[in-house]
Amino acid sequence: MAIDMSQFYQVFFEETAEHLGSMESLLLGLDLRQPDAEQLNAIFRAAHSIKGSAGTFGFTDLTEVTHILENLLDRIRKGELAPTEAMIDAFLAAGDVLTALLAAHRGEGEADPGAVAAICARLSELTATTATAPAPVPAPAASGEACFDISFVLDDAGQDASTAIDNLQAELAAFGTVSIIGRPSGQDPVWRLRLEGPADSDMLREIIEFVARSDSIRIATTGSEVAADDAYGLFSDTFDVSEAADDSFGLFEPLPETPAAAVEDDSFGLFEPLPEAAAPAPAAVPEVVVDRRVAVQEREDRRQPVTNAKAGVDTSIRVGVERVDQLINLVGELVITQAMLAQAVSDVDPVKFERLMRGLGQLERNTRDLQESVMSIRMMPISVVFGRFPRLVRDLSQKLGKQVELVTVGESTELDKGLIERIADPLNHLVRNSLDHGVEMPESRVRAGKGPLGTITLKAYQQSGNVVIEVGDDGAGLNRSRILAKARERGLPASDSMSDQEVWLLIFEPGFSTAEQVTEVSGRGVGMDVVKRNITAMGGRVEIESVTGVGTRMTVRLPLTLAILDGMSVAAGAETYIIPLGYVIESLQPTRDMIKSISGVSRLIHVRGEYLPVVALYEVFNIPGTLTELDTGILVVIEADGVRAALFVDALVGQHQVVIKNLEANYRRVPGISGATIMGSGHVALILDVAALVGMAKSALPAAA
Amino acid sequence: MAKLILAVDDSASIRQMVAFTLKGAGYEVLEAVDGQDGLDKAKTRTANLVLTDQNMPRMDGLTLVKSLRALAQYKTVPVLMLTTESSDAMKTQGRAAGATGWLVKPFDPQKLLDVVKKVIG
Repeated sequence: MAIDMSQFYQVFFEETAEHLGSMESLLLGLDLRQPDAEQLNAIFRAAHSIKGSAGTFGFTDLTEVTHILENLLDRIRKGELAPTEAMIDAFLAAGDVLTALLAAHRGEGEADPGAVAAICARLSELTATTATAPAPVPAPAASGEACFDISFVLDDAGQDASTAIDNLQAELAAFGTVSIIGRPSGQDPVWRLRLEGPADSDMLREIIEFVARSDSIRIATTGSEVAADDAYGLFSDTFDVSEAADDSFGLFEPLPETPAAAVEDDSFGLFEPLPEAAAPAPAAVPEVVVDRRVAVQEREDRRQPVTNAKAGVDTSIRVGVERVDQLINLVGELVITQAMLAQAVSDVDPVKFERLMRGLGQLERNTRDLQESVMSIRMMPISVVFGRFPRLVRDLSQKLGKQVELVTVGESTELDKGLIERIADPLNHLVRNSLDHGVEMPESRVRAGKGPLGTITLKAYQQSGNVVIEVGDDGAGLNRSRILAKARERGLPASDSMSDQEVWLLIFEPGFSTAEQVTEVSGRGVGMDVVKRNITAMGGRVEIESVTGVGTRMTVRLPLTLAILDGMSVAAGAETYIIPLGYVIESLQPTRDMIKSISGVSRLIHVRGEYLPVVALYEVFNIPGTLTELDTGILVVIEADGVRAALFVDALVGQHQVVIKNLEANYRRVPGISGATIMGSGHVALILDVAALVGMAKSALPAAA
Repeated sequence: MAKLILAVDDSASIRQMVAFTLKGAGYEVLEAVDGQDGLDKAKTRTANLVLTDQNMPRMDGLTLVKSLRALAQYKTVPVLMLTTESSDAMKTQGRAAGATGWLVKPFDPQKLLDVVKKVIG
């Protein structure tokens, strides 16, 4: 049959990855003291499905591992075995091996045959130590004392039958006790042997093939084992007759013992015909069998026109990200065009052009809806990222000897796909950090009057155009004096008068690490500074709250999407700039008495009891023809990384949603600018990199400030 | 008119393979993702043959067979169970539920076709 199985591989890969994922989370969620039957069933089903499909598509290495896994899981779900922590560990490890194998089949990375053998051995050991009977063979059918019923027709290659059978018996004796349970008689050329002992039916088959016609060999396990070479079967008198007639095609052997014989074949059978069921189906059988060759021919012919017929139950389609991005880009252009039109009609008579105005209003609404739905295509639930943490927390807490429970909240919160991918690593680092430095050892927790079980909470929610992700722990909290001491040691600007918030932020400085020793867990060469840099690069912010003895909470705020931004447009000379709205605290028109200056340094502004450095946009970007006196223009108070500054501009223009265009890709990187956008007028406006501007202001001030 | 086969399996890859093979042989295939879905779809159209997996979420294969047999139009429709188990216990249960026969996984497309041909031609 010339069906190219590889066409189903992609679906198989996805489905198997899904099964592995759900298996892992189910295993992690399993309460060993009171295992939930439905959960056990679901875990079994996952392993079972993987095995079934892997076998069908010929991924034998996957089948090998899942087979043993499935056997163990089956016994657990049937209550024959009690699940233990060691088993869960082994199952999780098996899941990892399967994931690696799957990746190798997908062409990502190399398969490690050693790992497969190791996990098979580990699982077999679990089977063996917990089995009622010894299971010495790590191959399939590893549990219990197997019993094989073997039937075959001797090869009529002229050899003496009794010698052949004697030799065979001797060979098979190596596997266990062999007995002859049926000899050929009259019309029936079939030999039947029974072998009691642990063996692999493939191995048996190879041995028997020396003396028997290979298409006649039937090996069936009795007992609860799954025989490796079962095929199919129909139970019923009628069908047995047809099977016998079918002999010439080499599909079935004449096993003329009515239903029992078919059972012995074990690979295929029909149940007893139902009282009134016999008539329709079986009636058609004889002709079909006789015309088999013709039927095959017809089948070949008929297959041609429908080769492209695809299974279509799924209600979702898979589309490449680049196509979605192209769509988003086009919608972005549409938004700009719409804004342009809106601007063009801003000075026409709304009464005269009422219909035009109404049409444009409609266009604006439609554009906005379209934009939202297109953006939502790229949105993914954050559970994609959160899903990996139960395993991480489990493994790490075991390694560290801590007891930690992971609580996740708001997993369905959606975030842009690009952000999802990029937030995974920083979050990973924050969780590791909480585990390593936050949650204390059980003894210290008890001494501090807490329960030995620490909690790490991952929480995601939306808040006014941002997605907020919190990583919290109920550990010891940050140690202010230790951080300050460390910061001084590292030559970082630190003073005792700093607020807690500022002190906490020191841990994000490059080269800062308070851990006494670099641990395997969080000290992996990547510091918290990288975490912060990554988050900032996504247009996000990270904040820390910590109370000694109570815990620490790191809060990451991310924009919903990277493609669109809420911005405030400001004018400086003839130029328009966009300030991302999230950074804007307030805008004000300063009076002369608010303006101060320190000798040799640029100006300061005194706002609400606080002195803020002033960053004049015209100075930073060398813009000609702007206002230069502070009290004639506008100051926009901006905040980034917990530091505030005042940005001096000519005027506020308005507030827009702007479509972000990459400046680096279209021009080059410019300090102080994070991107560009096209305004309704068709002009390009640059988007300010607020963090960089605040940094400039900070560096212009003496450290003492 | 092409004979209609209802293929019930929670594994999309197996389902696609079965459907592709059977469609290639000129059968019409109705797919269902689990026993419940299979039963629902069986009620909308009467199939000439039902192929069902045993282990599925929501409703397993045996329950599906029993439920089908309770429907007047499915009293005599052959039902084959596609299963990785071929133990006697499974057979006893399958027979009791009213299944016509079984086909053990893994199977290749040719074997599937052979059995289907044998049962409904």
